[in-house]
Amino acid sequence: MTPQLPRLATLCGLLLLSGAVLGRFEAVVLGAPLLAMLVTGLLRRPATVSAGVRLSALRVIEGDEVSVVARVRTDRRVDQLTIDFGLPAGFEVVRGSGHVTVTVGPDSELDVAVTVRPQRWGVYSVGPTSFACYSRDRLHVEGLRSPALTIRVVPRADRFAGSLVQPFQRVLVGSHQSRAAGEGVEFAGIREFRPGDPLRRVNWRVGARYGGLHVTQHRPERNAEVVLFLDTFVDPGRVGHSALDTAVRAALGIAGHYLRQMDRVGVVGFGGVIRWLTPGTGVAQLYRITEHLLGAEVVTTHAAKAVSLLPRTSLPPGSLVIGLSPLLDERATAALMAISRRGHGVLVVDTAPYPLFEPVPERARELAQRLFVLNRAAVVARMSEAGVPVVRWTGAGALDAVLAQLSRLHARPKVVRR
Amino acid sequence: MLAALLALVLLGRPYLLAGEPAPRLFPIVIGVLVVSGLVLWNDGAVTAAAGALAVHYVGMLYLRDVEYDVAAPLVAVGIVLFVELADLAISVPPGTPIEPGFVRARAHVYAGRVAVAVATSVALLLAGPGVRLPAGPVRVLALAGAVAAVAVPLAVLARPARRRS
Repeated sequence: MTPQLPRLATLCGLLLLSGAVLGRFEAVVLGAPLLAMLVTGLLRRPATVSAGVRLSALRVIEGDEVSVVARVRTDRRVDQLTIDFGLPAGFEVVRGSGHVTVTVGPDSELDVAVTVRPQRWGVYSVGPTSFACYSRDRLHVEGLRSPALTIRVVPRADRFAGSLVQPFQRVLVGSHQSRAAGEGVEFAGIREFRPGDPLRRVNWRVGARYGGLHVTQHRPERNAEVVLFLDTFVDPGRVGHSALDTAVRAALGIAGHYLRQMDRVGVVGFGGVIRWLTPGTGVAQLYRITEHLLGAEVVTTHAAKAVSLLPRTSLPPGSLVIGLSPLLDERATAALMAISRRGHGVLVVDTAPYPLFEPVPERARELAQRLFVLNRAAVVARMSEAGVPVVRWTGAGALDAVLAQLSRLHARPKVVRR
Repeated sequence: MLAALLALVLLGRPYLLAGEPAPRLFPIVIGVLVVSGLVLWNDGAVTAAAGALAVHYVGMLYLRDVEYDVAAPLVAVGIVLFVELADLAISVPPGTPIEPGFVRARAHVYAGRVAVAVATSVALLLAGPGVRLPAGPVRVLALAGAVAAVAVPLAVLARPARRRS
């Protein structure tokens, strides 16, 4: 029943009653069409409508377009069908509209589509889509609801490529060239023959030119374990370009790069909720990491968090830990320093959106902002002194210089106190 | 907007026909217009505004001593259109694109109703006041209609309830 039914009944009843009391045919003429509408509308059988909604893709990359298609079937004519797709916030409508009003012919099927573009990564519910089918006299309305559909919007991975030697390697076959010479494919150098060198390594051309026996040296291929450490304590910046957005996109780019190099990559989400994914390798691990990153969110908490809360398997010995943090929460910076003290190679990617603050005219606020920035710079300096370099994320090649620095630090002789 | 325009026409018609530049019932007209402006957002206000339009019409018949108004069917269709347009405006969320086919279908329905009203008015005009029905049968007819207006919706609404029980 629609509000039109009691409305027409009330108006019609009052007009006809006043016509009866006053004896004016004009009042009866006013009430008669309303009565006719009431009777014909109520005696007419409402249409049987079925509706469903589908998505053109259940998994898209942020910024890609996706179509939401509502299909309506009806046995009789539906004069007015209003569809509310229930689009989630953050979906930009490219074609069509989130609310549509159409007419459906008798015994027919109609597809109504709206094309949207998700602005930010995440898991979204599209719907529930509601359908309101009005009869011709607007006395009947049939409300239908199609259940919500889940769509996964995968972050668009930032471009990342590292070309330098990976400082922390494991004695497993991979794509990284070891600093030490050994069995491998990549050329390392030529030296004089020593007893024990395999004969197939002898470089006969060099021997013929310079005399004596020389052997060709190669670099053995190794793989590495990389753990991406996401700081999820705070998330400054506007939606779509916040610190967490940068961290997630960078993490996906870095993970993709290292997994292509046959390295093992794991993820740790360190914040209000601690989540981890133990290192693994291959395409399946990339999918696991993507799913893991989709669930990354900032949960505000004031509880103390420490690295000791993480299981040992999430930070394997000798792994390279890449922290992705806006460096605004002391718990995250302390955890990264603690990981460094454990013997892991740690480098931090600064994901804070710059400038940190909008310029303000008030002197006091400006002073507070400057103090905050100085305090943050002190934290960065302290981390660098402790052997945890901090670098700003700039995409491809962003970590090369820092990885080289870490590689040198790792290779230098260490003083051991006995 | 169309509904408000329609309400304005219905309210101004008697004054325009009488050639009065400033109607005496102007404050009432304004009051009803305000209600008409509100109808687009509230179901109850639509009923009240339509009732006000009808009361205004019937009241004007007495105030101006109109014995026989051939325009009654046109006023009736005006009120019907007012109610439907307002109801339509409420049911469609603001900013919703409306398919041209839907607008065409509604326009056909409304044009048909207006045509029937015009035809009835012409028939009344041709018949003249001489064939006016006596008050007695009009009263009986109106009373029966009033009873039907209440009984039919109740009967139809009671049917699914009985089926459920």
